[in-house]
This record gives sequence, structure tokens and C-alpha cells, in this order.
Amino acid sequence: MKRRLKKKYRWILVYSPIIIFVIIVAILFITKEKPPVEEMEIARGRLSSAKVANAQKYSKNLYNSASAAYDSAMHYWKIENERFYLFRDYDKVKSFALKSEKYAASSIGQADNNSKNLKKEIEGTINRLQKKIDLFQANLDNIPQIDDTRKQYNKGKIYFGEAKFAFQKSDYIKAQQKIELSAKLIDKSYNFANSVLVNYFGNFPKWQRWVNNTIEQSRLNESYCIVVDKIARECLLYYKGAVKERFEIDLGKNWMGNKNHQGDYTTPEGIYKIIDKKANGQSRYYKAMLLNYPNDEDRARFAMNKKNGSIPSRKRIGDLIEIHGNGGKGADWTMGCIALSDTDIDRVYARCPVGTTVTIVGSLRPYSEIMKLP
Amino acid sequence: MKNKLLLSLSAFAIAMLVFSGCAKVPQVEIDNANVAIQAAQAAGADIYVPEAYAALQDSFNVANQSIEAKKSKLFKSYKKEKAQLVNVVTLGNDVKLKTEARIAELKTEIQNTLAEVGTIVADSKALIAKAPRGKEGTTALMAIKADIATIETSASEVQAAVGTESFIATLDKAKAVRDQANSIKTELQTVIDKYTAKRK
Repeated sequence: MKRRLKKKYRWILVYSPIIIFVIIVAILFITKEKPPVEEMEIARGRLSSAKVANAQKYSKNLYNSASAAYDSAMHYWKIENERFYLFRDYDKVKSFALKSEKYAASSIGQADNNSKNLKKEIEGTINRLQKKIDLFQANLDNIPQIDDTRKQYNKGKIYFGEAKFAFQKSDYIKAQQKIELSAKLIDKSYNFANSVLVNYFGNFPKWQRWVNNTIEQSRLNESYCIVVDKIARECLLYYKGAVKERFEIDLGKNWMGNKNHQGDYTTPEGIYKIIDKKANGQSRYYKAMLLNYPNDEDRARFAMNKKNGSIPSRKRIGDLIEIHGNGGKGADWTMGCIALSDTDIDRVYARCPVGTTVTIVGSLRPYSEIMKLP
Repeated sequence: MKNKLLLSLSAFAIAMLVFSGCAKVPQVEIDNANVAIQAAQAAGADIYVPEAYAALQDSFNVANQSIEAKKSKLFKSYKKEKAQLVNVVTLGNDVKLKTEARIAELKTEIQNTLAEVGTIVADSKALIAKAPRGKEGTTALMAIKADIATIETSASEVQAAVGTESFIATLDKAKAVRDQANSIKTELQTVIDKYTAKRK
């Protein structure tokens, strides 16, 4: 009996530590926190969604934080997995996974907002620049002697095209880069060309006065008169103070401004008279009507410009400014004359005798009307 | 008795060791997958086929996560992960090929667009020759001539940019130059048409 008891106690003594150990281990296994599989899965999924939402472009900081937190979570997961099973602690991993998920979720929202705002901003700049391009094309493109400005404008237009292509592909970052380059060039060239035009229109009150006087004289004298609108490239034939016909014209290639000297390819501005008429065969340009350029005002201005040095002393004032045929080329090609098509010159030639007033102005319409898109 | 106790403890310890480390991490497959991803990126996959590249990276992340999840367990087998990683390698090679194909496509498109620009410039120059001439004997369209020169310079810049920046950006530039060249040609053509119509 004593022996049996001794054996029993021995058994208990031998196996109880093992049993206790197993029980403890079992409890540890049961109560052990689970590996962060679910948390990491969520974080990875969210990061992947953030990439799809282009968060790395439009919410760079948040996306990078999310990505870094995910990498940290993976890093600590690996470290924990290297430890003995029962000593693993995934709290840090879970914390980084949670951070990554939160950052990624925020980056999706921010990317959406940022891309929408950027899109709106670029759209606005595209529309603004498009309007300037249209205005430039319609009214500033043929301003003479602005070659460098045109070069800038053309380069700006190429950047504008690049911006539009990037915009169409929803690459708003690229579109923004290009539109900024474009805006810099287009704004600069537009502003310069526009300032030239504005400056030119400083003469508008004088032009209005000349035209009004000319028309009034035509009305009082019951005679024909001619008004030339340089910007509109139009020659208007008036009779008794009313417009009878309109003709397209070609001018000198430096058409803008007043004629300063011989060979400047500028069509003069002022009130002139037809002093001679050359029929077909007498003119190199089908038919011609010679104007009394230079008039007294032109001579006085020429003398003053020579005196103040704005015209070289060897320059001459020039003459032989005519309204002639061979025009209708749709380009400014004369040396300062006004060219009409042969059919049109026939009509004007037949109606206007020597002594008819020819008033040449920059524009009949004010600047505000000119700079409107059709 | 002492021996029995030692034997039991040893058996338990061996069992623990065996259970917790019976399979090795597929390091070779992981390295191969990494190499494939890096090769795809080096080819420009993130720029030219971004969706496919993102999917590739995600597949790798899935496999990596799965490996760590297995490492967290007592009983592990990496069979599924090995297959996933092999798939990542295949996908990586495929993405690399797609990238190369896209680049080749873009290069061809750039050269075709530049060839188009060349044709438009040549046509425009021919039109300039037909353009109305003034008393001074030179063309009246000097400004447009200068515009054509700007186009030629821009086309040369595009050609020089091939390979120095993203081919997508270069193609956009080439297309913008082509559009600008076309607009100048149209402007010229309008003048010529007007001139021709008036002369008839």
C-alpha cells in the first residue's frame, strides 16, 4: 500500500510539471493575440486603392506617409516573426497597419479634391489663354515689326497645345507645368502686342474728327469722298455723306502708324486729295489715283522728326502714294499705297474725280469694339 | 525515472521546434520576384503602363503578406506563396514586355508626327513661294515665314528631346508642334485661296 502510494506520488511529481507546462502553453496559445493578417490586408487594399486614385500624384505627402507606414508594418511583422512564437507581439505592426490605412484613406479623399481643384484651375487658365489666343489671332497677329513677340506667342501656343494634350489625359500635374509655361509666353506677347495697339488707338479721337469732317464735306458738297480704314482693311466710298460701297484693300507691310519717310512701307494717315488719275496703261498697277502725300502736316512732322533725330538726316519724305489696282491679295504687300482689286478700282476710279478727298485713318471703330471676339 | 523525465521534456521541445519551423521561407522566389519588379520599373513600367505596374506591385505585396501570415503560424507550408511569387515573376516579365512595346509604339508615333511636321513645313514653304509678292520683290508674308522657322526649331527640339524625357511628354510636344504647323499652313492656304479666287 505504502509502495503504491509512493509510486503514485512519484508519478505526480514527474508528470505534474509537464502537465502544468502544457496547460500554461495551451493557455498562452489560446490567449495569444492573433497575427495582424486582417489589419495588413486592409492596409494593403487601401494603399492599392490610393494608387488607383492617383494619390501618389495629387496627395503626395499623405500617400508617402501611408506607404511608409505600410513598409514599417511589414518590417516589424518580419521582426516579430523571427522571435519565438510565444514571445511575438504584433501591437506595433497593427499600429502601423492602422496608420497606413488611415493615411491611405485620407490620401484618396485629398487626391480627389486636389485633382478636382487642379482640373478647375487649369480649365480656367486654358479658357483664359484660349480667349487671348483668339484675340491675338483676330486683332494682333498682323501688327508689324513684332517678330520676337510672335516668336514668343508661337512658342506659348506650342506649350498650350502640350497642356491641352496632358489635360485630355487627366494628367493635371503635367498640364499645370505646361500651362504655366504657356501663360508666361502668351500673356507677355499678348500684353506687348496689345499695348502697341492701345498706343495706336491714342489717335482715335483725331481719326474720328478727320472722318466726321470728310463725311460732312461730302454731304455739304454733294460729292464723293473716300475713307480708308486700315485695321478693317476697307476702303469706303461715300456720296453725299452716305456710304455707297465698301472695298477690301491691301496696304504696306508696315501698315500700322503714320508714314515717316520714304521706304518705310507704311501707308500714311491724314486727309489727302486725289491730285492725278492714271488710266489703264499709264500705271504699273492697272489704274491709279495719286494722292497729295506729303501734305503740309506730313512735311511739318517729317521736319520735326528729322530735327529731333528720330529720322536719320539722309532719309527722304517720299511720295507717289496712290490708290491703285492689282490688289485683293489678302496680304500687305505695297510700299505704302492702297491696293484694290482691278474690278474694285474700276468702280472707284469711275466715280472719284481729281480733287476727291481721301481720308486715311487707323480705324473707324474704337479699340473696345476691335478687341471683341466675333 | 530521471531518464523518462528527460526523454519527455526532450520530445516536447523537439515537437515544438519541428512544429514551429518545418518549412523554409521561399527566399529564392522572393528574390526572383524582386528582380522581375525592378526590371519592369527600370524599363519604365511605372510611367508607360502604370496600371499594370501597380497591379504587379500589389501582387507582390499580397504574396509577401501571405508569407508573413504563414510565418506567424506554427504549422506552415509556403506552397501557395511560391506559386504566387512565380506568378509575380511571370507578371513582371509581361509588364516589362508591355512597357517595351508601349515605348516602341510611342517612338514610332513621335517619328511619324515629326515626319508629318516635316511635310507640313515643306508644304508651307511651297505655299510661301506661291504667296503674293510685293513691289520690293520679296514675299509679303515674312511673319509667316518666321513662324515656319519657329516650327522647324521646335521640331528639332522635339527630335533632340527623344530619350531625354518621357516619350509621352515628347509625343505631346510633337503633336503640339504639328498642330501649330497645321494652323500656320491653314493661315497661309487661306491667303493663297483668297488671292487665287480674286485673280479668277
